[in-house]
Amino acid sequence: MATVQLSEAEKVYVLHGIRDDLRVDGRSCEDYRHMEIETDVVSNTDGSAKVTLGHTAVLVGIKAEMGKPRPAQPAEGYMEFFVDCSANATPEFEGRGGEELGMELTNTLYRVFNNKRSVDLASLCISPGEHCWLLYVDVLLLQCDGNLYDGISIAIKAALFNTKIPKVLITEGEDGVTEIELSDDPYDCVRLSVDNVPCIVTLCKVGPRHVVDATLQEKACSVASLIMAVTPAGTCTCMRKVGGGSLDPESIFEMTEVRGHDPGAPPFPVCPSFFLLPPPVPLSSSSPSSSSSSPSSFFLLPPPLALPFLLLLLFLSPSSSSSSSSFLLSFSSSSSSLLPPPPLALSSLLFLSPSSSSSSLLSPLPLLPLSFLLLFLSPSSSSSSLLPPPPLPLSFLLLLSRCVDI
Amino acid sequence: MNKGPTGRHSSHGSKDLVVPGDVITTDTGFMRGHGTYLDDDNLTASVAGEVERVDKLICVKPLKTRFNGEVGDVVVGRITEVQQKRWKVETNSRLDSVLLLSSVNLPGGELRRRCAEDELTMRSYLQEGDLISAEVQSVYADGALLLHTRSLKYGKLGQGVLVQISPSLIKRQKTHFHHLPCGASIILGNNGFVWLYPTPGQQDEEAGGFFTSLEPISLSDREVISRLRNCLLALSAHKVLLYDTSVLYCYEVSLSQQVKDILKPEVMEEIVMMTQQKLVEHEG
Repeated sequence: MATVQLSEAEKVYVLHGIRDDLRVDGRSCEDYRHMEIETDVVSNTDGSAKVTLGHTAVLVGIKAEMGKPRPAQPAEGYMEFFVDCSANATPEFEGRGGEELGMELTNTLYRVFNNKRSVDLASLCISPGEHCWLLYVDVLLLQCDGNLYDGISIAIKAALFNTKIPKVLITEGEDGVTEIELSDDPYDCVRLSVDNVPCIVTLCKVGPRHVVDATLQEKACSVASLIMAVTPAGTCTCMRKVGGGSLDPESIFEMTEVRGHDPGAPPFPVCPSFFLLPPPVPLSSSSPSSSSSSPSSFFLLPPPLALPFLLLLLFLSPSSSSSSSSFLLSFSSSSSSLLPPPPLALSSLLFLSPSSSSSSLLSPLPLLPLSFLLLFLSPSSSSSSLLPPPPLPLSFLLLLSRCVDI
Repeated sequence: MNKGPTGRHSSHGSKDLVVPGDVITTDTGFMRGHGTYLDDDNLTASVAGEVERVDKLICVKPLKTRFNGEVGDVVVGRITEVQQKRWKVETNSRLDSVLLLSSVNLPGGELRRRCAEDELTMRSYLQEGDLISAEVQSVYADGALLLHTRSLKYGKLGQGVLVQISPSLIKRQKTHFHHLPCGASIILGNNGFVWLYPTPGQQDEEAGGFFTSLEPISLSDREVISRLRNCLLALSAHKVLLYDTSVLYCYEVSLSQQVKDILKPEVMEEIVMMTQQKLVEHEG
């Protein structure tokens, strides 16, 4: 990989910045740079894509050719990868300088796609044992500014999405010789399903924390990185550690927790976007008898549905200090931020601190509306999110159980 | 309409921009300078840039080029090699610049002849990868620059951020060291290397030389520096001339956006447009 030289003081600056969650370009540790994806850029390929991630630029072209399937898997096609580190990317790749890195990237790609579910290889079979489609995936590195694995995997996914394989008609000719006809219509083609194609996330360990999408500068300050390939369903197809330094098993677990928030892999089922609640029920002293047995019943409900029930019970729960705080609760699906909204942490703090005093359960209750306000009004009600804050229902279960529990 | 040696109409005071292949003049009485060549009696430009004419000499000053230093330029450079009695410094020029051992201030400020021991401990002063700010003392015959840090304001740089941009975007000014009112300081090196660092406290001003503090910088300072860095990149992407005022206006205009959003193309465009408007308003 291309390297930059940094002075000791610069490295210290980068390290301290990452520790405080403010990187040199203002991103947090889990933010990606601006990404641009273009498909269908190379006309003489069957599928192509170009991805620009900050200053890293990757071009992928896919060509489909007919060939003989592998003897071990006669009813499947296969993919061949090749990564070319062009000398345009950085002077270090001049001549044969980029070969080693190219080999490493190629081998990693083979490992990532070496499973049955990433790409439906059975759909690439034409006639078992005789003909199948081979997909030659060629990756060209145009510019290198860190985070090559991520860019390459995104480009491959986009190129596979763009790939058009012509439809094949097999006819039995005379003497039992199979004849293969390709349809002439350029629009009559088969598209591949890329739902399970994994995306690679590189986590670089810099100091005590890890960053996603490291630039060359940050890479120079890190000793080791973890490369994980994950599918949208949440399965991990490949995990590798690169770099000369060592990673503690604890830190590996920590890193894999982070991975749950990246846009390529929502591990929790995507909840429908929240809805607007009707104007509030003022806190009244009359309580249904069922509320006392409430804690156990919460856990039976599935988390997304529990939410409105929890809120209703909150309003109806006994409280002598019935401050009829009238406020409008509006749920709004958070914008596609990678982290759970910060107010969640704030409200958790508010919840957890008073709940430690087991004396009166009434004191936390007035705080609850405030935190609700904070929690729900701050996330901007923007476009539909891929990832509503998953811990939200779970933490509410826990927190409300503490407060309402007698 | 004045058909000057450029071959195109030029009103008094405007620049004549040419691209490679443009015929500058068909008059054979002119001498060829840099950036031109003779193509069948036509003087043609070989680089994209501005035509400069001094009496009978015509040359083309390119828009994008490596740093061509002149005496007195302030540069920010990175040490690439430690040699016998000198350091080689990378300054974005065609050749590495040279910093002699005799051109640096010894720690402690003593003035004496350099001895053999000084030579052996060179690496403890400046190592490979260190950043320095220096001034160009002279230019060698082959174009390499001779640097010196013989003043307290020059020397090894501590914690901060380096931004690399094209040297042609840095405006030549009286001073290149600025303490911006937003809370950070900036060194606009003529070679395109811009150094952003937190404004040092009162007592640190006199330290100079080679002491670098590795204390953590506060979060607010970091935010200011990150924002300035993104503003610099935005301005350089849109080819705006960089000097303290333009950087400051860009900073002020960008305060409405989040730091990390400044690098998004649409936001960048908006910010640069507003900065240019502000510059026109205030400076005409």
